[in-house]
Amino acid sequence: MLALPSGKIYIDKLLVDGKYCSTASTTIQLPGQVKKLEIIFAVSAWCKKENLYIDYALNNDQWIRVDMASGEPKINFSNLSYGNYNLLIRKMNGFGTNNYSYTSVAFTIATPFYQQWWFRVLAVLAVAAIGYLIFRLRLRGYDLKEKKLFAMVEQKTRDLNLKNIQLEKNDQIKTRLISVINHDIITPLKFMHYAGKALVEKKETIGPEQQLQTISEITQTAKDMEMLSSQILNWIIYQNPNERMQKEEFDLHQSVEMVFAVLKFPAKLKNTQLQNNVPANSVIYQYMEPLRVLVYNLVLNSINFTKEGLVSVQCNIAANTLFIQVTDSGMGMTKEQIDNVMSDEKVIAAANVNNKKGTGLGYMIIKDLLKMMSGSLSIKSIKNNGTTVLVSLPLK
Amino acid sequence: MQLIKPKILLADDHGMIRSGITLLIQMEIGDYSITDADSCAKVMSELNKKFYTHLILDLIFADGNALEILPNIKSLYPSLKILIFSMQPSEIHAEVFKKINISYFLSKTSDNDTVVKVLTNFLNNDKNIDQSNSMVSGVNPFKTLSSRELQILHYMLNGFGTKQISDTLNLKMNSVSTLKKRIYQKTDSANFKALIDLCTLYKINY
Repeated sequence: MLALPSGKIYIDKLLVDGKYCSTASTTIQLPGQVKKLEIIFAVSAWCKKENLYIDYALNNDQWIRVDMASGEPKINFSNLSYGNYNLLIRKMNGFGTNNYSYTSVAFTIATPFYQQWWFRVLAVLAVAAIGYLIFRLRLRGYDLKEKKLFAMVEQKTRDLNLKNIQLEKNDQIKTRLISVINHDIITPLKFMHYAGKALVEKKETIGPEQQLQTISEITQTAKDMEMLSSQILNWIIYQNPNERMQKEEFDLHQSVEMVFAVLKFPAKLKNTQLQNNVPANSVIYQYMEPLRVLVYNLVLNSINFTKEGLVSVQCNIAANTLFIQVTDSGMGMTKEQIDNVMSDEKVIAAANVNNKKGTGLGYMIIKDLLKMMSGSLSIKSIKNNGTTVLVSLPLK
Repeated sequence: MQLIKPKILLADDHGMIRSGITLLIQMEIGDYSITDADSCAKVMSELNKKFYTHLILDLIFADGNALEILPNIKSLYPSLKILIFSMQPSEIHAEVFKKINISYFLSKTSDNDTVVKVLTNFLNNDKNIDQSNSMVSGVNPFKTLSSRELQILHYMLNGFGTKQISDTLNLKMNSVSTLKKRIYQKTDSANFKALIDLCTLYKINY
């Protein structure tokens, strides 16, 4: 057999994406994601390179001829997927069948992380987790929405309830007013008219004493009705105060004097002294007319509850707050009466003074005014030992 | 014809009305002796102090509803003639008054002639002309209320709570609640607002 220049095939170098890679170990470990794998080898042969017949087979696949045109014996692989590879290279040594010399290179391309089982599990888990998260977020969104709606409904219900209470209160006030107008205005007017007529037409048949008594009754009733009518007006005005009402500077001492001038007559009937202890020239900045109506009602209440006594008004300013104190030496109020007055839900049951039913209008007006002026009220009273009402009003 | 001159007790909480009625009786009917009372308590003490033949009685006083004292007056002074003189519509109380045997009712809203006529009849012990038939329809929902229920209604309209009413009328809280429930049932009112509206409609005011 003719011996042809035979020789071994030497693996010269391995280039992974152009980078040199060691071929020292039996199985070459390559990283995952190899784009281009170049295997450069050398053969010892005494011949033209055109006469070199070199084939390779990857994983015992078909033999593929290595193109020697480039000069260098080189095998290129691109985009090999991960896995174990066995590259077999053969060189024809001469004639005859199976006259080859072989060499093999084993290499492993690492499985990329995204192809690993744990990654898949993780991915599935991640997808599941994201799905769950979205679900939860949505759910929370609905929850929040529901909570918001619920809060809105609750707020509306509360508002409606308040309105309802207000309406009920207004109805009670309406009934009270109708009753007051009937009882204290229409009916007395009717009999006032009758008495007046009798005095005009049959004066001579009425004794002088009865004449005097009737006239004083008419006078008293006229005054009562005048005061009551202005109170009804006050109540209507200050129940829904006009927003354009403005504060101004005025002398509180003078305001109290004005109130006393109006209430002189009822005070005299009760033999009660009125005392203005507000220092002269006490100039304050507040709603003038409402404050006067407030003082009027406080003083009027005190007069109603006092007989042969003293009603005094004093004031005090501290920390931007005006304190107005109305003190009387009257019969005082019971705890129930005070609670009744301070209660916010109820229409005030009228107190009975001197066997005459009060109208309950006074404290209704006082409370409306205090709401308007952001003021507050406190009442101290000892049975048969007078009452002190303290009102505090912001001066800002 | 009467044997003794009427001695009249006039009970009303308003001074002007007392003066007016006094003048009216003395000018138009006869020079009778008339005494004033301005509260339920005063009525009771006057009746106890002196002898009266006639009582002209308002229903609503500062210290209570005359319905509360009427049974006492009736049993203590059976011969006393009573005329109810009130703002309240008569048909509401008609049943209650019939039960305690009071046949005279005069509305404060009546015109002068009617007032004189009814008072004359009352003081001369003539039969009362029943005004309620000619004046008002029979569908008043308050007609069926009992005396107690009318008393409770009076305090309800005055803004009294159950506790306060029970204290004032000396009743158990439970009884007051039951009576209140019955008022709502009889007047077919769903709530307090409806009841108040109904009272306003039928001119019941206290």
